Amino acid sequence: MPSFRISLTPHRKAAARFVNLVHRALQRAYADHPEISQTEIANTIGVHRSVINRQLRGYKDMSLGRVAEISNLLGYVPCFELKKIEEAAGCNARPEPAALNPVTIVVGTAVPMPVAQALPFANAISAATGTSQKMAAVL
Amino acid sequence: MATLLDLHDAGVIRRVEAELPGRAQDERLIYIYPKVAERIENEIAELHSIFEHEIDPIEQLFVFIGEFCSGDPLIYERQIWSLNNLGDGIWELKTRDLRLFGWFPVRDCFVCAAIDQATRVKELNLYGPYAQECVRHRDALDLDEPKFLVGDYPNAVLSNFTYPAP
Repeated sequence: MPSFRISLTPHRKAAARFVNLVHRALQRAYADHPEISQTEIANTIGVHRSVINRQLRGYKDMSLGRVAEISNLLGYVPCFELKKIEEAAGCNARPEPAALNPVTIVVGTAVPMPVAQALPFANAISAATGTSQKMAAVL
Repeated sequence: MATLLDLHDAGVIRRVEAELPGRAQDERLIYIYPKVAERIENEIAELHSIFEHEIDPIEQLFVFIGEFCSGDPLIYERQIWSLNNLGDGIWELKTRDLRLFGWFPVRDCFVCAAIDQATRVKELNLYGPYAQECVRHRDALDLDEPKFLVGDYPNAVLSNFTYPAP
């Protein structure tokens, strides 16, 4: 029987992991400082205590600024580093770069039209290359 | 009588792959029943969080499985708990939007027999019914005795369960 794996795109896995990483770091910092209350944090920032409670417990999104505010009030400076996916992978994981699919956005109905009509400078290109091309009008 | 691995090989339960990043290795295991796998794929995967949160329930589950299997703490002091004892060896594991119900046949190994949305569990008070369902599944499982760990506190079933460490 094969193992069960949750099917998610690599970029959503990355998002979920990163959000959790930040939450857990703040929760550890908060746990390490029992002398600082959520009320004190909330009052200093200027929000209700319930907002800080939900954000610390991960029940409400936090802006990057809020992460920095709470970190600062707990006595920390948040740091951020980007690592290349090949460097981040180890012997236990395959690198999972998200495939950036080039997208052709067509507004309305795509209509094949001569290059000269599609691009104002196309005449110069086709004259230079000696080719004529038809392409769908794209945005 | 069978071991967990025998039951996995027979298709009675399925081991969950944690996809740990970097050089991390599994320090805990999760097994799920096939119907739990179906529910995750067919229902849970379509849900959005009811909270003001950008991470969907299926993504919360993905991260939770990673944390669990990597051996990370599941309880952070001062009110942040990811598991709850329902009695008779049945435990509730939590994400923001989901609840997993099951038991620990051995330390650091969770067998999940049911999963549902947290709001539904709370509104319909399904804690008791899900706990009873888990007991039924556990009793019917051809597993070597003892089939579950006893104990009311997380340290009975998990290592490194809390931060800071006690």
